[in-house]
Amino acid sequence: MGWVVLAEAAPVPDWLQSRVLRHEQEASLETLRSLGYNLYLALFVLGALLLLSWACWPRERALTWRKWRCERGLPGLAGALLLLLLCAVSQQLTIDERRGFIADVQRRMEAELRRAAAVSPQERENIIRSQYMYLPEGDSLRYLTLGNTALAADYLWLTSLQYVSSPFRQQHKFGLMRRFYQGIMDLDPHWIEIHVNAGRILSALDPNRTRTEQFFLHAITQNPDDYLLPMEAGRLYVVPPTDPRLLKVYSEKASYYFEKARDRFEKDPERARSGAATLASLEDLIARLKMEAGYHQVARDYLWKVSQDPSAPEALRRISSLAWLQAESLYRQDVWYRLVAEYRARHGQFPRSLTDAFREALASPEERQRLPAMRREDVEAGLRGAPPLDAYGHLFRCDPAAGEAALRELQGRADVRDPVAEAAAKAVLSPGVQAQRAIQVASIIEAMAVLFRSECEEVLGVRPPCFPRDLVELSAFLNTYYRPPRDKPFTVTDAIGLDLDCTRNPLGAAWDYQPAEGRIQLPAICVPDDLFRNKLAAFEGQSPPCFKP
Amino acid sequence: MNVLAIALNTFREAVRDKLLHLLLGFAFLLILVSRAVGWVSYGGEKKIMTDLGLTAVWLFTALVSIFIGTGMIYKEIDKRTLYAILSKPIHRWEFMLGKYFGLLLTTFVCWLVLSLVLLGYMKLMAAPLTVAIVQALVLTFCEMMVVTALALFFSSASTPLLSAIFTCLVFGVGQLTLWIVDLGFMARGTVPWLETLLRAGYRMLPNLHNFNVRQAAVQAADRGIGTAISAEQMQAVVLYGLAYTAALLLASILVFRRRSF
Repeated sequence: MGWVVLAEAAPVPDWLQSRVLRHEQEASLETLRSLGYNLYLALFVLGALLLLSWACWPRERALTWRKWRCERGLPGLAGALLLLLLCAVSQQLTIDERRGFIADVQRRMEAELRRAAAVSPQERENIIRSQYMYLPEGDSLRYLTLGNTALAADYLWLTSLQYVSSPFRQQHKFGLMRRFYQGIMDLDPHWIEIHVNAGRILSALDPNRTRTEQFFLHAITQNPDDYLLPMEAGRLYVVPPTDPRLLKVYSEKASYYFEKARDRFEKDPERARSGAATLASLEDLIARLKMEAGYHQVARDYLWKVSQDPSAPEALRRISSLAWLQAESLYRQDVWYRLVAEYRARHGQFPRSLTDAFREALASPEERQRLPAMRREDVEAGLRGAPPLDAYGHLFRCDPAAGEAALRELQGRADVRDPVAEAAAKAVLSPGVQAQRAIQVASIIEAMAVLFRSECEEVLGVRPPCFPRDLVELSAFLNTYYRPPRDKPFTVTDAIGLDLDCTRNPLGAAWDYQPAEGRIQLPAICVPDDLFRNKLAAFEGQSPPCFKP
Repeated sequence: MNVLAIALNTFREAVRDKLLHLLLGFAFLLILVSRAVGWVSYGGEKKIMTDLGLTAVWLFTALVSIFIGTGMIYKEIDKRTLYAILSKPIHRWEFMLGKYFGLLLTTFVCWLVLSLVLLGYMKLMAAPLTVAIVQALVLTFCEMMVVTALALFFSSASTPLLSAIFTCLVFGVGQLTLWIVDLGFMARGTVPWLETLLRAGYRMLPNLHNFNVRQAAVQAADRGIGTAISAEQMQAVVLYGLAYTAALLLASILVFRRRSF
């Protein structure tokens, strides 16, 4: 009873349990080894005795040598056979010890890698790179399998799975796996499911997405009717890059592949009919990617189409109509940027109001052709001098001074192709777009404030957990925290920039930061009910006016 | 009637062969194990299972045709039963045709049993099953018609060992004739006459790859498409098989007519 109580009161810790278990396993292995050795010895002695008995057995005079050999030879033969078998077994054991099994080879390689890592990382790298493998080309397997290329592809796939998770060429697997998957594609180019899986594995092995994209391109070319492969290639670039400067390129590529997937999906009328919801969500995704890449007009057209599509799910239609407000505002903003830049080029200064630029554009027939199609009432309102609105219903702001200041800064810079056009982006602001961005940025800053509170003791030294005093302190903390090898997350750099400056506010004014709670008080324009007041109209198919009525 | 009697007798004799039972046993094992191979895979499990199953039917039916067919005539000569048969009012061509149809019946029974097992297993494992798979199996049998005629042809002219070697070689080359022509094309710069020679060989040799629609069948079944090849294409392939088989049988009869024992 006392033993039971003691055992229940004092549970064995995990580290001790695993040690005990390993010791027990090793002890049982040792017992087996000694048993095997004793058995081997016993069989050897038996064989020797049998052979000896045959040799030394007294020959009976009545029997001839031949008869005696036939009648008494059996034990001797058995003994000789046993000895020969034992000889073969011992030789096999010697060979196995020298060569080792596959599992032993891996264990020895891991031990060598551990030893090399203690010397230098370069030594470890050299050992890994020294591992090699002879891989057959697709054509040779075609001949070896007598034209059964599907079976050869299956064999390559199954073999590749063994190497993905093995320690063979750790961290340098991309080239090896690419050879495997290229071979599978040569042998069975229409095995879509495996090409999709192969692409996913390659993208996990190498952060360079372009190399995996080459593999997908090859597969897409081989399968012109398939939509899954371009969709997978698009997914490769949906995940944002660590460097936000690459976002536009990634978004363009992703949208290109998704459009290809959409076109192929629609080719089959039956599939297009039954998969209307899939098609709608795909178009919504394409629109958002186009918006990220800067193609605002295309994005707004897609989003409008999805929001008005009766076959699309209602939830998707509502989300799309919300995103449409942003795309439409950005598109209107692009139009104003162009008009303002052209006004500046003609008159040498930015317009005092957007109406001046608009009236001038309407006066010229060529310019009027280039303007987007507007309703007559919008044109009349604009000519009357009504101020322009973004899709959220907020007035566009025109600040010639900000434009001039930006132009002075941009002129002379070799990396800026059109300084006037870029400066126009500082002169004209869509408050709705900036407000939506401000909501996103504020949520990131608040999340970083929470991070500060949990990590400040470790990063900054002795200080009780608290929120940062101000945003300058928060910026300094983030620059210390996100030092290499720690990567800066894309969501953070996209929101507050690569320099991690938390004081930057898309609305232009300073943040209203409350250090006691680590929260940001947003202005009234950022209140969702006010900001998205036009969303219902968009959902019901009514485009908001371009000018104040 | 003579042909039928010889055929049935040949069938009864072949079915008792231990080699046949061994091959069928291994084929069953391979079909059953194919699902386990699929389990090891990440994706494409059913496709791997179907590939292995179709290949097992093809391979083991071919082995039955080759190894039973190549020893057929020689066994009759060795056991001296051939003299008893030919001394009766039976033409040599009747004897050859009877042997062929008997062996073909044996191959047909093996093929049928393996196909039914495979189809049943695929149904059980919920693998995609369409007309395309049946097409692939039917064309496999058409291929075996040609292989059986080939085995009988070599068996009528040579010993079992050589017959088996020649049959296997022609069987192997027949699978690869499509790429043999490519070899000539690639070498046209250095050896111009090789392409002509290989093209002639391509026309003469049995193009057994015509009957290989297994890969297309599995893909069609995976996508839910009905057939692997069109009806016209299938008709052309079957007619090709029948014509080649008839030619080989004729050649076997001509060789056997002149053979002395």
